[in-house]
Amino acid sequence: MSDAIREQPALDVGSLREAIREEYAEVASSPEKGFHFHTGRPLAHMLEYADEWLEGIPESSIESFAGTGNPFSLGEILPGERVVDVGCGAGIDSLIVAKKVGSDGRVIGVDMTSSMLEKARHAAHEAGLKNAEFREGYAESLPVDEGWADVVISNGVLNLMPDKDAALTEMSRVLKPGGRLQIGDILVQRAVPESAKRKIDLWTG
Amino acid sequence: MAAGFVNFEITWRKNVFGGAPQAGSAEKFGTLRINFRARKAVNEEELTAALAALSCEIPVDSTEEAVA
Repeated sequence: MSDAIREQPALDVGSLREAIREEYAEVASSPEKGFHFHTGRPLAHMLEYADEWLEGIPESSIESFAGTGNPFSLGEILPGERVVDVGCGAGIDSLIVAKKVGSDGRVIGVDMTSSMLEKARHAAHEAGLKNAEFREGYAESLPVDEGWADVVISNGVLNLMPDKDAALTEMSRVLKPGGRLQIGDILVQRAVPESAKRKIDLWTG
Repeated sequence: MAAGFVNFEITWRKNVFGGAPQAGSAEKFGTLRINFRARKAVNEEELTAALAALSCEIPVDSTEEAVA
């Protein structure tokens, strides 16, 4: 038997990140375009975001909202707490947190898409929320000190990471012992074949 | 749990991908939006106890034909 077993090429993480970055840069720059997922205020309503949470949040942040769940339904974010928002996008969830934790609390939003971070920083400035900070980085290597956070939130991001173990390990690292993880994401009810997992367009579309 | 979390819980799941402006692959795989929470173990003892108590069965329905 001489046939060699051909190895399937591994998923190119760099290409995947670039594809995701391009897609969400478009959500940042052209939110009105329409995507294969819901966005903006209609999405926030669909996910049962309270109207009071959105009060004072600039429209530039809300219009590019592309989450998949509602991290705030999983437990109260309390005044004075420190929160990390992994994959913060244009900042809607981070700014909601900033309002909830007040001046004694802090929120650090992390994202790999610079145009989203730019929107988030601008929105925080416009809203006068000085306790929100936004840092560029990857979920698999968070630019946050170990044990810094009381809570880690993330919304619609974990599903985009090929190495979910690394991302969850990082989320654990930045949490204090006993700290809370509150995540909105997706799950599939039918197993995804290995061949499909290597198709970048299925990750983003 | 490998990352050190305990008390994992999915609190909400819903199919809300229908009606999005562009067609996507979500429905092929029965994709649901979910909310889940967990807590970082306070110490090694808590994590060890949680691992010892772990039991999970995941039904799998592989659909090769879902891939175009």
